[in-house]
Amino acid sequence: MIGTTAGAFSGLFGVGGGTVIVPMLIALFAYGERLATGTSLAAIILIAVLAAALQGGFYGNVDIETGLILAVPAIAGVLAGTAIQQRIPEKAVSLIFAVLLIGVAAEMVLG
Amino acid sequence: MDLALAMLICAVGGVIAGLIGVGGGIVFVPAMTVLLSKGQVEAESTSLLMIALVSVVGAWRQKSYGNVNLRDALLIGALSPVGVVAGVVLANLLPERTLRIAFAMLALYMAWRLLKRVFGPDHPGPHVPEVAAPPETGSRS
Repeated sequence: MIGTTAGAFSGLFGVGGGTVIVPMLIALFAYGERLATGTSLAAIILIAVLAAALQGGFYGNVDIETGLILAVPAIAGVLAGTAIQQRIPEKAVSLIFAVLLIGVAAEMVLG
Repeated sequence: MDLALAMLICAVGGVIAGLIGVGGGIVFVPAMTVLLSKGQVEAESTSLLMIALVSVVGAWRQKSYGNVNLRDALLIGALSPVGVVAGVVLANLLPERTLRIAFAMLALYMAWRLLKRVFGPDHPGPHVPEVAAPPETGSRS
């Protein structure tokens, strides 16, 4: 259910999968925040690899050089982000997502 | 200069990805369209490559912290393409306004559940009886 809903969100509105996967795991499946974010990242691997292969392999839309250059600081960032997350209260993640989802809802109705 | 700024912004995107478990595309795409003058499709496609790399490293770190349910992750990842197809079918069956309101309501419902979790009483979790300290049994031999 989460997978299909996340995919539907992405397909319809361009909202990234994680924006849907994490709050659904927490709010509907009683996941802890850290477990939800880690599981979401693992799920996103499959989605992004498939989508990147399609866009790059079939359509040639991926600028590999730029992607790799920008991925270096992004990877450093994700290492820092996951480390920071282990040191902050779990509920902070829920609070961030609650605000994010209210923003998404407002954008969908008003946008 | 623009590339350096784009790299800095992508570093911030990576921090957000690690912190809240998203791919980071919401940051990577505008960094490329605004600073590197990439077209929207090329930026989105290139961000997918970045998201793939970022999510591999992020998931690997979270796995080492014990924060990944691999079975559920595989299930969610595998079913997402089904959702994309379902989304396209739905988009052709229902007016976009109806879909937007339905998804907005779902987003608000999840936000409400999360806020209840943040500001509500702590979840007691599974009851684990406290283990009493063993009584002193005299001097050790």
